[in-house]
Amino acid sequence: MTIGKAVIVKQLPEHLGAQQSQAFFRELAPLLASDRPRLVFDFTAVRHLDSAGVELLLQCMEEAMKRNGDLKLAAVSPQLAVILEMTRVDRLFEIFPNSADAVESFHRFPAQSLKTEAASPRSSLSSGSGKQD
Amino acid sequence: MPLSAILLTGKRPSRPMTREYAYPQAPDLGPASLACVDVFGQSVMQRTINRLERAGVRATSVITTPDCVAFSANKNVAITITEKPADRWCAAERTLKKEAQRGVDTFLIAELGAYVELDLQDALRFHKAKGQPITCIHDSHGPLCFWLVDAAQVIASGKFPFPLDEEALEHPPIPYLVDAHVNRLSDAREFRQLVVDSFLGRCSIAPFGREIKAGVWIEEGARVHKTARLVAPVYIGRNTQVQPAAVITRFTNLEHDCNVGEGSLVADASILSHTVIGKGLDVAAALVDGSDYFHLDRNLMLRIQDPNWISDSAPLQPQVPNYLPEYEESFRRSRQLELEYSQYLSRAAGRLLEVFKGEV
Repeated sequence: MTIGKAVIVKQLPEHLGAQQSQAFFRELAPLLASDRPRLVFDFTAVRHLDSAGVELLLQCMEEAMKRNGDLKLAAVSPQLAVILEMTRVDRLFEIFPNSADAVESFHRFPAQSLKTEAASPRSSLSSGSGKQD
Repeated sequence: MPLSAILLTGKRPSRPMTREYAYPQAPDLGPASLACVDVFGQSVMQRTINRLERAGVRATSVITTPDCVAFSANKNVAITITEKPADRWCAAERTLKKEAQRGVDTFLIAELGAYVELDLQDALRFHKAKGQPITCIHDSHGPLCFWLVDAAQVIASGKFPFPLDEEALEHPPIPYLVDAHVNRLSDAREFRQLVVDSFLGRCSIAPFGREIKAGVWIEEGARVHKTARLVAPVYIGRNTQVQPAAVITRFTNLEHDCNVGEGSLVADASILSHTVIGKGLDVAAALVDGSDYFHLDRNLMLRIQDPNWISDSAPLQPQVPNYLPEYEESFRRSRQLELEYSQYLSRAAGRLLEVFKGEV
């Protein structure tokens, strides 16, 4: 876990299934309970994501929003991007190519942030090829 | 002029569909072929057989692998099953010689593959006019793995030159150029293109079933909830179910025995048979085969292992090809045995329960 300018970057585990999600959420609970939590989930290591993992993302988003915070996603692979699109979750999160960009986005003025968003942060999820087992 | 056809094909791909996956390395079963996958309720393989029959082909021999169930046999279709892919061409040679002895002088040999709306009579006229032993059939992009063969000349030459490498020949035969609809079906995108072309009437493939309104075809046994929306053009295969509030649109074909969950949107997608789409999903620009999800825009394939999203409802027991009665018999016997065994277990469990209840 790295902390920079009060934005917390969490590396997600390789498998984000039911068991891992529960453990991860327990680990994250104190952070989410703080005032205005600013979180970035780094997907670099994630290879497997199922409905429990998506549920975790939504749960964390909900908790962060409740406390006037935000949760952003970074380094989502094209395969996982397909899953996020398919489950309609992609439109709920800001997604960045890497966690540095995601952290940076928290420190921009809202107007600037909106401008960048208009330039489509999701376009960073460029197409690629491969498979997920 | 007696004419026979010899069609070679591989198995139905279990996980298509990128260029690299369209022909996976499966040495025991041979190359996979999208010609074995259903388009609007019938495979390209079956459609090719039907087309040849209509064009006057006396008999068709299909040389395939054990798991190809892409067509139904009839009296004019002979099936040869080979275990190894290399054996398919040997089987083709034997078939050619056998049929030639029966008086067939010209053969159409095709390795499917491609969907080709070939004008067979025109091609035959060309072949006879040129007087060459083999006429290769090309489209504007090159050879299509379709050949017209003069049996007498090939047998007299003493060698069976298939699969034919035209580039290696010193005097390559003059090709016959097809100017009708051709789709090589070499990957999932081309498969989708065939579906779209069929919807738009650009080729002769037409959906089976009833056209309930302009551009919406529904096959027998399909059930669409009254709150689901079908926005033309779409095709719903037999026994497929579309659950409440689902939306099916933009050239989507749901093949037989699929299920689309509540509130899901399926747009610009081909959902192959026995695929279950979960609730509240967006499936767009995709080809889904069981739990394999091929995203056409991103050109990547996922195997989705979460049954809440996408799953395969195909029966675990392999489908028995209807041209293999001996297999069918053995499967029937094994199913009977399983049933008897489960009945025996059930009776035994009931008896045990009675004994324990008596003791208590």
